[in-house]
Amino acid sequence: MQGLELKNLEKHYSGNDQPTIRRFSAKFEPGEFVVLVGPSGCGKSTLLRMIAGLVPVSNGAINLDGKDITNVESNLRNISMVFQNYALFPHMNVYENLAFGMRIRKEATQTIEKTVTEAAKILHLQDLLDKKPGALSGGQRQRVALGRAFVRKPKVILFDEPLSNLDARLRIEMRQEILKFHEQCGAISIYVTHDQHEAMTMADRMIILNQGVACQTGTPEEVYNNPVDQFVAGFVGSIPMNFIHGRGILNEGRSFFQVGSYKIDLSHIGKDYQLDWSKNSGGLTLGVRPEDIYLDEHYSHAVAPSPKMAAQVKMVEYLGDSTIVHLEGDIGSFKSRFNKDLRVRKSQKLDFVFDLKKLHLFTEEGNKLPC
Amino acid sequence: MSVRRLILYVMLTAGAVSFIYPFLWMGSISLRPMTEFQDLGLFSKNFTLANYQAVFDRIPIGRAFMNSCLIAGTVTCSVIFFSSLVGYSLAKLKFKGQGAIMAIVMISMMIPGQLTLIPLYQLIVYFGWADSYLGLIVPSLMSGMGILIFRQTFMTIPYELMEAARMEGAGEFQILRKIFWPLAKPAIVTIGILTFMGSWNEVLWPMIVVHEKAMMTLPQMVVLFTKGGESGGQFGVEMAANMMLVVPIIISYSFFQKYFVEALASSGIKG
Ligand SMILES: Nc1ncnc2c1ncn2[C@@H]1O[C@H](COP(=O)(O)OP(=O)(O)OP(=O)(O)O)[C@@H](O)[C@H]1O
Ligand SMILES: [Mg+2]
Repeated sequence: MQGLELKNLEKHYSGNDQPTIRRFSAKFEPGEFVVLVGPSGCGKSTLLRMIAGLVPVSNGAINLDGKDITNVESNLRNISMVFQNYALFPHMNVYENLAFGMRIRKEATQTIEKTVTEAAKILHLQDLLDKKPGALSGGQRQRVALGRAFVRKPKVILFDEPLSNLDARLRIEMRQEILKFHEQCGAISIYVTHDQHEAMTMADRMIILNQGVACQTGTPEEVYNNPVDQFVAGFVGSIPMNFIHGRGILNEGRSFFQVGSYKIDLSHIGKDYQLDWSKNSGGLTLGVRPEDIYLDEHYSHAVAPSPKMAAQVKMVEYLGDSTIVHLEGDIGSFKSRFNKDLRVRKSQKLDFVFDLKKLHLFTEEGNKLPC
Repeated sequence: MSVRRLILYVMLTAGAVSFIYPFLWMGSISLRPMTEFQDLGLFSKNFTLANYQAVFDRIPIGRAFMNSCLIAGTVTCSVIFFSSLVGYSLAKLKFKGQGAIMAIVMISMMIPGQLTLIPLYQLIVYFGWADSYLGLIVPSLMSGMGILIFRQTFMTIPYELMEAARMEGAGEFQILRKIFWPLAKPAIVTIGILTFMGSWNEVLWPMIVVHEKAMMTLPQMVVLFTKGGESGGQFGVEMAANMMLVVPIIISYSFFQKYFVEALASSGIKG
């Protein structure tokens, strides 16, 4: 089988009572750009290091193009890595940094020169070859790091938060550069970040990791529209999903979500839940994205409106292309995203509706109920 | 320039002169005839190399100089090489017994040298290394201080550099040679100078293990010469011998001074 396959990978650092990575399985096709995303400390770097061969695997197997490389030395794996702080050798100039691996492998001078020149051309480093990393800007260092990964012609390139040291504007620019570079390489790219926005914009496919477990794998659209649990729902999205905590009740054979005096008939959401709400104390969380909340009467025909609810404007964040409104109502506080043309003032009292087709329901354990 | 500044400069200059003057005077006396040794000035019409001639005539000081160079040179290279190996493994690798090795290094630095003098001498005699280069060199091939300075320096080098090198196929020794040594240049120079000076100036140990003139080190010979009577109490001749002892150190220090100061400042070790 072509590609990279991880089978039930586990990592247990000695001294920690909990394993850092638990039964992680995934397949990566050649040419795929997969983003691994998760909160700090969830084990993203550990997973990359296991793939790179820098950290021994406690359990499970890694296959590359059908060969088991679980215990192969990291330099023989045909895998490159781009580190967060670039890890350029400060005492060598750009040329020597790019040539380092080939010098270690004692390749011929002409081969080295040819390969370095080629990489330098692709990454626009020709004029920087005799500079030391200390004399380069953040973006240039980043490109040298990419070049060093490229010269090996690897089958897999691992990126560990490569953009987190750059300022916001450069980061957006480098995202494009990395994607372009990825296309030229044709390798499998596995890209780690804790920035979900970066993940959404770059990924062919994303894997969401939480406490060493892969919660969900899918395209950014799938993950955004159909999160498998409350963690993923809350993690993905630049303004997090609103969670409204209430309870499920059964009334005359129909299920309702209720918080205070506000009620939504769950049969409108999709399924008719024939659940015994009293069994698990009835706790139920409603998830709604800020863009799926509408001012009453302002929604289009495509929207299936929920019953109205009243809320007061607490704060208005004007972003230029849209406006984020912080609201406080009987159902608790939540945020909504509105069209930039809509003007609301602080302390204003307004009526809102949710789009019933876009709601998510989570049990108390954070599991998603089918919608 | 403010008055405070002026006062500061005057005081600093006075301090510098009071340190340097005795050295200059020593140099001056070594170049002047015996009769002028009570003159505290630096200049004379009668400069001569006669005192140096006398030293060369009376003792094999050239041979002693070569011995010292050989011993201090070997010890310095060896301390840099082996201490950096140990420092690297203590700073960047993980292995069983690491704590114990660290403890041994620390303890070896806490025990005063005088305490180990006799057992060490017995050991050297047992090996048959008295009156030989081995007896002079082997006991100082490693240095606890060197290990600690290297460990400290290497700890500041990020793991990612090692990992990047390792992914390219570099082994531990290549990582040390191609990355850690070049990045630790100031530490290497500091340890180099401290070790070289320490070895060059060592008198006690050579006195104990060496009795043959041909194997003697420069300071040993100069001390024996000036205190042991061979100089005949001639002050100028004694100074000439002393000059031959200190000049190599001064030259090498001024050569590496830039690195040395930099390294002392960054390693937090007081000279
Ligand atoms: N060498 C190690 N020894 C013991 N525990 C470790 C080691 N490296 C990492 N860990 C632990 O494993 C967990 C995951 O660490 P890891 O660096 O993989 O997280 P991460 O997802 O990359 O986080 P971040 O986003 O902050 O980089 C952490 O709790 C960390 O303390
Ligand atoms: Mg990390």
